[in-house]
Amino acid sequence: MDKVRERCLTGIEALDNILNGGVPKGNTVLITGSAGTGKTTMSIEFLVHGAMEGEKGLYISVTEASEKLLENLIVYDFFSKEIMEFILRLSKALSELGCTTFLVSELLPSAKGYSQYGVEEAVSDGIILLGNLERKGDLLRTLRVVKMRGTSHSRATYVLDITSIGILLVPLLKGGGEMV
Amino acid sequence: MNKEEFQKKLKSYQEPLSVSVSISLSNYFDVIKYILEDFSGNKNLPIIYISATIPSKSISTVLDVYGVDSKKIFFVDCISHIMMSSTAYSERTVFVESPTMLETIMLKAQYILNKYVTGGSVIVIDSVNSLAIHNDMKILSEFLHLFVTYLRSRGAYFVILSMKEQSNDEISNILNFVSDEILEVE
Repeated sequence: MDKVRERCLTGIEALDNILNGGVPKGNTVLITGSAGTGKTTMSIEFLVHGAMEGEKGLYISVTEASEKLLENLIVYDFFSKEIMEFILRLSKALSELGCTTFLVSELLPSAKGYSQYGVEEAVSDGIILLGNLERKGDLLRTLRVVKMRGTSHSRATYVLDITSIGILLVPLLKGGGEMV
Repeated sequence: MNKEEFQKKLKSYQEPLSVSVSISLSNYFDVIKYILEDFSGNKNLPIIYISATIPSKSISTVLDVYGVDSKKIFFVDCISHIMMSSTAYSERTVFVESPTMLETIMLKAQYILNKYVTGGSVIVIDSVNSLAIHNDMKILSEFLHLFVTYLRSRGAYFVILSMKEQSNDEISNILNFVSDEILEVE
C-alpha cells in the first residue's frame, strides 16, 4: 500500500476529490492557463479557505511587474535568468518551510509546454492547467490536473464555474472541441 | 393515464427516482402545475426548474395565474439569452447562455443546491425535446446520465418532460435509459 501523505485542502470540494483529498502538503503546484481562465480566482480561493481554517497565507502579486518584465525580457536576456533563479530559490525555500505553494503563470497561446520559461513546470510537483474550450460557439472554462506528485488523481478535463460560493466543477461532456 | 391518475401516481412516490412524463401541448401547463403542487408541494421540497422551452419569466407569469406558490421554485433558464429575452437579475433565476451549454446547466443546478437547498429537491427538465433541438443525441444522453445519476445521489427527484408531438425513437431510448418510470398523460 502507498504511504499516504498529509494533505492540504484547496477548499474547492471537487478539486480536492479529483486529488484524492487535496494537494500533498509541501508540494509546489503550477496553476497555468491563458487570460481569463480563473488562475487568480483559484489561488485566492485556496488562500481564503486556508485562512478560514486558521492557516496563514501569503499572496505575492507581481502581475503588473511581470508584464513589464516580459516586455523587457526580449531586450534584456538576464531578466530571464534572474526570474528562473528567483523561482528556483523561492520554491526550494518554501518547500523547506513546509509551505504548500501555488505558482500562478500566464500561458501564452504560442507557448509550448505548461509555462513561459520552462523553469516553473520543472520546479513544480503539480500542474493544474486551466483553459478555454470552444464548442459550437460556446466558450467553457476548463480545468485539468496534469500532474501531482504524492497522490493518484484524475487526469480528465472538467468544466469550471466561478460563483459566489466558490469554484464549482463538473466533468466535461465528450462533445468535441479543442482547448484554446 | 388521465390527469387524476397522474396526480395520484405523483403522490405515491416516496423515494428519489427519475420519472419521464410525456405530455402534449394541450395539457402542458396543467401537468406542470400538478408537478409543482402535488409532487414537490406535497413533499415540501424546493424545485429546480430547468427551462429550455420557454423563458422562465413566461412560466412564472402563468404559474401566478394558476395560483401556484412559486417561492420554492428556482429557475435555470437556458433559453432567454438566445431568444434575446430579458435576463434581468433575479434571486431565484440563474441564466445559461445557451441550451448547448449542458455542463453549465449542471453547474448552475449544483450552485443552487449548494447555496439554497438542504436535503431533497425536485429537478424538472422542460423539456428533453427542446434540448434535443440544440444538442446531438450522444452528448444529450451523456448529460442526462451524469446529471440524473449525480443529483439522485444527493436525494433529488427527477422529472423529465417530453412533448408527445416532438418525440422520436432516439429520444425514447434516452428516456428509457435514464428513467425509473415513464408516464404518459392524456
